[in-house]
Amino acid sequence: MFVEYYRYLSDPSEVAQVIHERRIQSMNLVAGRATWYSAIRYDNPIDAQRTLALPHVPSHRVGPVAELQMPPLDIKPRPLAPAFGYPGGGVEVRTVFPVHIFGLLDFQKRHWDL
Amino acid sequence: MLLNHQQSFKELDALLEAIRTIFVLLIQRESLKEESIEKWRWDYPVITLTWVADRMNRNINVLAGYSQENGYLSTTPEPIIEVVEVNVWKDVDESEGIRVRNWRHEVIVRKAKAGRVQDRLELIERSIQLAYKEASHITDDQLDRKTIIASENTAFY
Repeated sequence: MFVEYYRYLSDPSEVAQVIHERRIQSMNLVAGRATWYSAIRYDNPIDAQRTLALPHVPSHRVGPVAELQMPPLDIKPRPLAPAFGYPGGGVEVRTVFPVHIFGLLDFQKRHWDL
Repeated sequence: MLLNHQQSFKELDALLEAIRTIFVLLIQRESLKEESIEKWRWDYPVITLTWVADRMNRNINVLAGYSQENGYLSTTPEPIIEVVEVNVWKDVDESEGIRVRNWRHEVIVRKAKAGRVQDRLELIERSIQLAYKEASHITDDQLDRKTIIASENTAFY
């Protein structure tokens, strides 16, 4: 089976980072920019909240990132524990490295055309 | 709400570290097995103590945040405890490809606010002791919720 990873976001500054830099990485410096992904694609954010056992509903999803394109993981795929009234049971991984996603950059304008 | 302000991350992390100390003492006092402490899961200001007892997984989650009264990232934000909660669960393979999680969830404290840092830590410590008492007494037949989850035989693992 071909595994792909997705990140579910709620932080507006991280959403802006994805749009303007085509880069996925947590903004949290105190946590060493540790960035969590799920191996499951959710189209419904409520399902993501429930299975990832998050305290709030994510606002965005970014991905897929193919397994081969993922940087080294410091937490390998593992099942999620229950939390915040949700059962968990999804699959999560973690990396401290950024993931650069596809884009077409105009070098002169410093603008992403695509 | 997630926080995107590095100063807020630092303040909340200081609170999480204080809670970590309480967790470490609890691990030592109760000789907890297969224990782990983890914080900032999915960027949330949460710290989790997990351990195994009586073949069941048990955790205490403490989620921090900011008082809404002061406003998000206001000039005088005050970290608060959003919730202290416990979960106990046991995953069972019921048939091929079907894995069932039997679990129980209890909220111990919600929206705890205290003025001074010392008051806050005492409140947190009391809440964690209460949470531990609750989590450690839950037995197999008290797992009142049942959810189908991804099998560990899938390609993810």
